[in-house]
Parts: sequence; C-alpha cells; structure tokens
Amino acid sequence: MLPTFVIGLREGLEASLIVGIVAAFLRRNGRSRDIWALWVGVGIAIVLCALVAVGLRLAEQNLPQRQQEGLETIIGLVAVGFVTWMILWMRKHARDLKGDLESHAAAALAAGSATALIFMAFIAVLREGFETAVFLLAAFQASTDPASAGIGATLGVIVAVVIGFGIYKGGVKLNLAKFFTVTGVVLVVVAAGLCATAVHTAHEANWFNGLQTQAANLHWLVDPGSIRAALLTGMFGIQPRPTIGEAFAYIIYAVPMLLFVLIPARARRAPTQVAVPVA
Amino acid sequence: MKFLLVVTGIALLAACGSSSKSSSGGSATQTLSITITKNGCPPPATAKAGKTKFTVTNNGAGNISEVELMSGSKIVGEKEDLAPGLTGSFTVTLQPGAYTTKCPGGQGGTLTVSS
Repeated sequence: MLPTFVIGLREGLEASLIVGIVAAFLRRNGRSRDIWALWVGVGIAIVLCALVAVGLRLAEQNLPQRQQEGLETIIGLVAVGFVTWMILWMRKHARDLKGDLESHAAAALAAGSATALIFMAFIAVLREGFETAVFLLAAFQASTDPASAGIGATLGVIVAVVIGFGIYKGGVKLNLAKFFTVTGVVLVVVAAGLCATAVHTAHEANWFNGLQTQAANLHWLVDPGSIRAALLTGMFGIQPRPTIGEAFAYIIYAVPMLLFVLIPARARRAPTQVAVPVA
Repeated sequence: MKFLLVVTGIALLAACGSSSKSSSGGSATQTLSITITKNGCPPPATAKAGKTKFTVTNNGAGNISEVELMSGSKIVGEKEDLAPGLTGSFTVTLQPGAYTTKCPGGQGGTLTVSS
C-alpha cells in the first residue's frame, strides 16, 4: 500500500499545491466570489482526466508519454510565471494590504487577473491529472493485492488534496502582507522547484538533452519511495539525483527572486517622479 | 497576465501537434521484458534492431517506480508510476548500438543492439 500511496501523494501534491496557492491568493485579495468558479474549474479538469484515463483503458492504449512530459513542461513554466506575478503583485500592494481588511478597493484583483488565475488552477490539475488518473486505474488492477494498491493510491491523492486545502485555509488566515517576507520566500522556493521540474520534464519530453550530468546525490534527503520524498519532490521539486541543468534552473531563478523578496522596498531605487510644471 | 494566457494556449497547441515518432503505425517485431526488482532494472543483455515493445513489470521494489531506456543522454522510452505489482509498456525502434536503463532508486544495465 505504501508505494502506491507515495506515488498518489506526490502526483496529487504537484497539482493541489498550485490550486491551494491560487485559491488563497484569490480569496485574500478581494475575489472571494470567484472561489466557486475555481472549484468548478478544478472539478471539470478532474472529470476530464478521469474520462481520458477510462478512454485510454478501454482502447488499451498507453498515455503518450513524450507528449505528457511536454505538457507538464509547458504548464510548469506557465505556473512559474503566475507565481512570480503573484510575488510581484503582493510586493506592489503590500502597503494596501497591511490592514486586516479582506478586500480593499485599491488592492483588489482585476476580474481579468482572477480569470487567468482560475485558468492556472485548471491547467495545474490537468498537468498531473491525466497521469494520476491512469495510475489510479492501474493500481486497482495490480497483479499483486490490487485492493491494497488501489486504496493506497486513492489515500495518497486524498492526503494531497487535504494538504492543498490546508494551504488554502492557512494562506487565507495569515496576514500575507505582514508576513510578506516569509510568504515570498516560500513562493520563491516553490517556483524555483517548478523551474527545476520543468527542466526535468523537458528532458523526458526529448526537448532538452544537455547538462544531464548529475549535480548531486540527494538520496539521503529524497529517498525514492518514501513519504518524505513524495512531499519534497511534489511540493518543492527536489529530485533524488538532480542534473546540472536542473540545479542551474533552480539557482538562476531562486537567487535574484530571493534578493528581491528579502531586500526591503525602501532600500531599492524609488520610482522617479516627473514634476509637471504648472503654468 | 493575459499575455501569459495567449502564450500558454499557443504552446499547448504546439505540444499536442508534435507527433510521437516511437509508436506510429505497424506492430512491434519483438517484445522484450524488463523486470524491476529491489536491485534495479537490468534489460536483456542483447537484442536485434527493429521496432521493439518493452514490457516493464515491478516485482516487489517499493523504492523504484520508474524506468527509462536511454541512448546516451537521450531518453528513447520510459514508463513511470510503476508501483510493485504494476506492469507497463512502451515501444521503441531500436538501432544498432548501446542502450542503458535507468531507474531512480536502483541500478540500471546495458543493452547491446545488433542489426
């Protein structure tokens, strides 16, 4: 049961983390009414993945692996874009968010941005959803102890959803502006992980074959098959044996973004004000 | 933000459009099997070139769930999410030369393909 639980947990987390972050961001920044649209979008994505998995099973076809990895790469990079945008947006509106007000006219998200974020949650589910749905079906048909394998896989996905929901609730309760530094650092770490993962899946999609030398052996931290590995790989994109390319991607994103988050606003150059002469 | 949406849409369409060359048309001329055990994922030592279906079975290895067939640093075929008791397959057109299997958590092996 544990091996399938671990896989379900990891795959589930890769989706539920993004959904939880997006939901918390929407709710916290004046778009509470869009939350229901978010859950509907997520629900549609789940149904879509289930239909595709059942269809593939009935047609006795495999999920096209290379295309799946390509999809994961593109959506992963889009997710990096969204999380980066969120960090910048929070920094810009930190002044307006300092109070305990849930919504403030000046800080509220535009409707267009909310729609884009809901779309992000939708594709975040698709990114792992096809593979996870196929895996769930396969687990229930394992050659040894299918009930245990299937239940384990289902429990893994459920725990991932619970964690994502916890992130949503926690993100809503915390005063994100007050704790901008902490929130910002966590988001940078998540986005850097997404960068590294995108390089990993790009290699699996045959789009990128360079810089494949192993950079480090992180088996001591990310022991394959363990729950800790599922959490670290699923949430923070840490691979057991990261390549030079994956390490570069991580560092190239993390270093400037961490500097941006950690250096106080007033220490950075203030925007120049153009004085308009009054005639 | 809207720019990101447009770029995503185009990129997704492009990804769907790119064809999978390894499993188009015709049936495999041979089927080989790779069994994952706690030690790793050794492939058969030798094989003939041609369209090959690899059947991968996880025989009790809780720490290994993924096998990749590589030609140098390029992945020519892979199967993920193979928990103990699960079986999967992928099809590759083998060329003469050396291939290796890689499975995070275990030891791979070498497959030499002759024409």
